[in-house]
Order: sequence, then structure tokens, then C-alpha cells
Amino acid sequence: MTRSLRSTVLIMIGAAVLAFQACLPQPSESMWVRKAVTNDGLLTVWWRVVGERDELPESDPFDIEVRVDDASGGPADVALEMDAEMPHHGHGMNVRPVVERIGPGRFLVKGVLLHMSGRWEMAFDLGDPDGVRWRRAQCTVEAP
Amino acid sequence: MILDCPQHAQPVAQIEDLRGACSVAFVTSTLAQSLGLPEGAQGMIVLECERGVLRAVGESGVGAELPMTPPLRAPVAVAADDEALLVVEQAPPRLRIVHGAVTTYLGDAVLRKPVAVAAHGTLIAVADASLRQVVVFDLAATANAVVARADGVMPAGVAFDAAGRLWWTDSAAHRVHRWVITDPGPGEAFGERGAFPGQFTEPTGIVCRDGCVYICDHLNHRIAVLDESTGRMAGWWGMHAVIPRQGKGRIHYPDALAFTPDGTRAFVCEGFEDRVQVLSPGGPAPINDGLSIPREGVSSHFGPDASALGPIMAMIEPETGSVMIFNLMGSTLAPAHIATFGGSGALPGRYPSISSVCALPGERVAVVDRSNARLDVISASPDRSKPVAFDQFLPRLVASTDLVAMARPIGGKHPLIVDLAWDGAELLALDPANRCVWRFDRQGAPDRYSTGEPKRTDLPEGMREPVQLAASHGELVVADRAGGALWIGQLDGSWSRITELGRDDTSVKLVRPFGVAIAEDGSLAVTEESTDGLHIVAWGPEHSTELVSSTQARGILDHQFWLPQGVTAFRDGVLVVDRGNHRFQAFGTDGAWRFTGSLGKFYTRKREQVRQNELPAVAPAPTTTGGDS
Repeated sequence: MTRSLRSTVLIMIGAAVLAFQACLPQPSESMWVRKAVTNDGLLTVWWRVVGERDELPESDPFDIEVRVDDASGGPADVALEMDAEMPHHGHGMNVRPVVERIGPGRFLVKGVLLHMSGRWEMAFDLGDPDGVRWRRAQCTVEAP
Repeated sequence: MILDCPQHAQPVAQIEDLRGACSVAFVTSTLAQSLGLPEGAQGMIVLECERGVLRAVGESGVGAELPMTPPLRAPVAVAADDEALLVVEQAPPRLRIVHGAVTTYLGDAVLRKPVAVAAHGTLIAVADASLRQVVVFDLAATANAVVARADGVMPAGVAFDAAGRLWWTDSAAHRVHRWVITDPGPGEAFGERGAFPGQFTEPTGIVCRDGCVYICDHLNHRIAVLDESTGRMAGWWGMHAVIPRQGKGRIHYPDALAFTPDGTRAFVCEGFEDRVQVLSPGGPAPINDGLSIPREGVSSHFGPDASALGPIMAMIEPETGSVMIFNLMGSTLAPAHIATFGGSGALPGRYPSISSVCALPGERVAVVDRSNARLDVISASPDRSKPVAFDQFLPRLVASTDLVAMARPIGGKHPLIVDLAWDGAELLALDPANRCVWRFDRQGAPDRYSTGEPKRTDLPEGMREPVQLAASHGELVVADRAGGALWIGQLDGSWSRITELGRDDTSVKLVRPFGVAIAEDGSLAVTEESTDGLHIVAWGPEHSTELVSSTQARGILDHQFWLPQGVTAFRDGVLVVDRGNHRFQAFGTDGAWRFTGSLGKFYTRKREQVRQNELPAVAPAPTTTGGDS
């Protein structure tokens, strides 16, 4: 491998790591380490896999807990729909998760299933109280 | 259970040059005589939607035009029983019933956009795409009253079975319903979007016969055959035409079908191909003749709409319910495909029945869907500091507007957006169901009056079938296909109507205009379905127009069209979706051809010849019907 090619590969790996960073579990004292911001920048979604270790299981259904903050950091008054897809493969999940509101800006999403290992895009659609406007926060995860 | 429905069918004949062949019916000798046809004459009649005429057809070819008095006005469907001929018209929207020398009309002030009709005894069922209903009239009731209604998303076809149950297709919900009309609701539903057995993609025409149901599975390019008792798919006829003009058993966008009384022949309308194929039900599955891979023909699908603004262009791919994004800032003239997004589904960012796209400032794209009634705004902004490459992760859904929730507080109907346009300040959405143009900001949020109501501009009373709009700084241009006109709207809500472009001896009359676009220099481009035309005009005083260029040429060569539909401003010219050729073509505002392209193919030099695959001659076909399982 030439020096320039090696450098290019290293740069690409570095860029990929940065791109995924927003979705990867990061060292924190908080239980909320997975984060996605709506594409218009107005709302922040924090989410975690329910269980002791906040890890994505391998081809098994799992539940996630979701917290949605508004711009001030308080709980956002929104409705939630959750979906996931593999854009490279052109498919989504084989199931539709059930969303349950468990508190102001807090949700439990039951039955998420990333049935194939690889790169998935998690999408959190957040609806205003009147149901007219929806915003999306999305992030990428690597399913085992 | 052994199914007796014919699982396959064999090609017998092709009848060409039937412009926009959209509907077909068998006329008995009794009815033929009452219509003034020669004694003993009976057979198929085909409705040519683009010419607005009915024509007799047979296996040997095209016959005479049926004289109709008064002439048909924007007809879209035909049906017949022993006594009467039924023709659905859209200008105005109503049903013409021809019974001997007597012509009557049904549905005035009830129907909005009727698209299909079927009769059973005294009952007449009409599918109405704008009402989003199937409406059943009873000719035995007082004033031919409506006796039943079923709600859908976009009803497209109706047929009664022998037991009097009404089968109907919903093209936007991709379902088929079986409904006992004395029962409430839409009836049982069969199918979902998809191409596997038991699935449909935009089902349209439907016929019931001898315990089987035959459905034009429009975007799956096949005739789906269902067992009437179970609703299960028993088989399907046809194979997708890989390139346009292929036939001989390959089916391309089927619209309607009808059987001869003995059931030995089925006539299938393919308006997209301007033809009818005659099939013989039964026989074996079609063989692979090795002609599935195109040589030079262009093979990508494009829907009716395209939109370009600055560095990006968006086009619809209806077969997969997705949107393709093109980069216009590459090193060559060719638009480069950089992402596809969408696909069928219920959530934001999914498009079960996509209807329009609109490029917005900031490398964003608005997308609207008929089925889920959502307006999405997608960001598709590549990193311009690097070479732009295909990236499936590029599109990001920024926001979505639930149009039903938006219209509900003001008592609006379920919105049915057919086109979007950016006027430089607002995003405009053409909604025939609510007879208005809704206004949104560049984020796709409804613009609102001080009262909180969403802003809108009402459409004029006389507008028949609004299909596309263009806008520039508050001025609107709407193409009225069934009305054969353009409507020019102003900010104050006033409208004027144009039926002719140009003046004096350099003018062209509009027949079925479809696409409209305002180019960068203010020129107006209009596509015309009935003449395969592209007209470019400059504005004069008082909305007069000067014809700059007019191309009316059917064919597959460059600077020829086959069903031109959407048109968009593109760089300093315009780009036309040449839908019937599965490609797009770009022109200057002087009408000069610039290039032809599709996915992976691009031509800047005019071609004198385009090679297409040749299909073998049609083999002699069996004439029997029945099961082959």
C-alpha cells in the first residue's frame, strides 16, 4: 500500500468514526448516552436500550426508552413514531414497534427488531400536539 | 382448493394507434343497432382518451369511430350492457347514458372526478377519484338517487359479479374490495402494495367473469386473476415490458380490460402504449425468450413529475414509490443520480402513492403522497467540497406535514395534492379535492392567516381537471387537462383562462395540456399529451402569449416524445419528462434540443436511429378458456 493510499484509507476511517459518533454509546455518567437531534435542530432525542447494558442484541427484539427534550432542555410535548431501515439494502424492519408514552417527553418503544447485521438508520418522528407537523431525528447504528 | 381461473393467457393480436386507449367494452348487436351501427354489428369498442372518441376494434385492427351526439367531452371510461352504453365524462363530471336514440346524464352535482363505471340491473356504480368514494346510483329509485357509498383513498375501477356484489379497486391504497352494497363500509379488502402474489401496485380496471376477477395491476404490468369466492390470487397474465413498445404478451401499464361474450378473448387497454392487446385466456406460462435485457433502449421508469432548482433535480419513480435525486453541478451536462429515497410505508418519508416532488432552495425537496396525505421536506445536500458520489444516506427527512390534520379544523376534505410548485417565496400545493392551492413555507409548514387557518387560493368554478401548476412570485399557471386549457391566477384570487397559445396564424390550440413550467427567463413551457407536444411561449400584455417554439412529434428519437408529461425549469431552459419513452429531454427556451437522458444513459448528439429489441412473431394461440392447473 502506498503512503498516499494508506493516508486516504486512514482519513476515510476517521471520517466514518466521526459520522457514527453521535449514535455510539459514549462515556458518560448519565444513563442517556445515545443521542439524535431533529434535522431542523429544534428537538433532541436521547434513547437507550432497555436492560442492564444498553447493548443492541443480535437479531432479537428489544425495547428502547426514549426521552425528547425541547430547545430549553425540558421535556418536549410531542407524539412519537419510531422506525428503522437499512438504506443500502432498501428495506426496513419486519415489525412495527409499539410506542407507549410513560411520562412528559418520555416513551417506551416495544418490539424493535434489527433483523440483519449491518448499518441501520434509526428514525424518531416527533409530532406536534395538533398532529400537523412532524420532525425527524435520525442516527445510524451498527447492528451486531 | 383447485382454482379454475385461467392462470395465464396467450397473445393473439395487437391493435396499435389507439391514442390513450383507456377503456373497453363489448357492444351486443342489440345495443349496436340502437346506437345506429349496421344491423348485426357487434364487438369491442375502445375509448381513446387522448382523442376523446369511441372506436370499434377487432383482432384484425381498428374500425370505425362511433358517432356521438353531442361529442364526448373528456371521456375517461366506458361500459355497456344489453340495452345501454355508459360513458364517464369529466367536462363536466357526469355519466352519459346512451339508450337507443335517447341520451341522458347522471351524476350532475354529485360526481367530482368520475373515473370508472359498471352496471348491474338498475344499479350503476361509479368510482370517483376526487370524492374518494364509490357511488352507487339506482335508476329505479326516485330521481336516480344515490343508494350507497363506499369510502376509499383513490377508487379506480368497479365491476359487479354475478351475485351482485361490487368489486372495486383502490389504486392509492393498492387494494381490491368486495362489497355487498347493502352493507355499510367499503367491504372486504384484499391485497397490499407489492409485487408478490396477492399484492397489487396501483390496481385500476377490473372485470368479474365466471367466478374469477381480473384486475389491471397497473404498476406491476400484469393482469391479476383472483378467485371470486376467496379473493386469493389464482395467477397473472403478462410479463413486464422491459423497454417501451414491447408487447406480444408483455404488458405495459394496463388500464382496463373486457371479454368477448364467449370468453375466448380478452382485450387489454394499455393507454401508455396507445394500443390494445388481444389475449386468449388459458395455456401455459410464457417462456423466457431472452429479450428481457434491453440493448440500447432506455429502461428507467419515471413518473409524471420532475423538479429542478439550482444544484439538484428530483424525479419520481412510481413503481417503487421513491424519489430520485440528481446532482446538476457535475463536470458534465449530465444530471448525475446521487440518491434514491422513499419506498412504500405508512410513516413520514414513505410513499405508498407518490404524486409530486418540488425542489426547494437549500438543496431540499418537497414530496407529497396521495395515500398518506403527507407533505415531506427532505434535505439532500451533499458535501460540495468533495466529488459528489451516490450516497443512500444523503437524504434526511427534515419535517413532515399531516395534510389531513391541517385541513380538518376548517372542515376541509382529505387533501389530494396532485402537484407542487415553488414560486420563489412559497411552496404551493394543487388540491383538486378541496378545490384550492394550499400555501406552505420552505420548511413545508402551512402558511397561516392571522385567524390560524391555513392559507389557500380557491380554484375557479370552471376548472375541470387541474393536473399540474407552475408559479412565479405569486402568479399561478394551472394546466386543466380535461378542460383543454391553462388557467392564470393572481394574488388577488382572480383567474383567466387560455385555450390557445400564440396569436393569429402562429398559434396552437390546447387539447390535453399536462405539464407547465416557468423558465428562468419567464418563458412558459407546456406539454401536451394528445399531440406529443412541447410548446414554449413568451408572455405578452394582458396574458397574451407569443409562440416561441412548438414541437409536436411522436417517436423514440431525440426531440420526439411519447406521452410527455411533467416539465420543469432546468438551468436556463426546461426539462421534459418523456414518460412514454422512460427518459427526460432538455431544451433551451428557444425550443432547441439539448440532451436526452435517463439513469445511466445520456446523449448530447441527436440520434438518427435507436435500435430496439425485436420480439418474435406471435405464435398461434389456443382459443379455449378455463383452468390450466
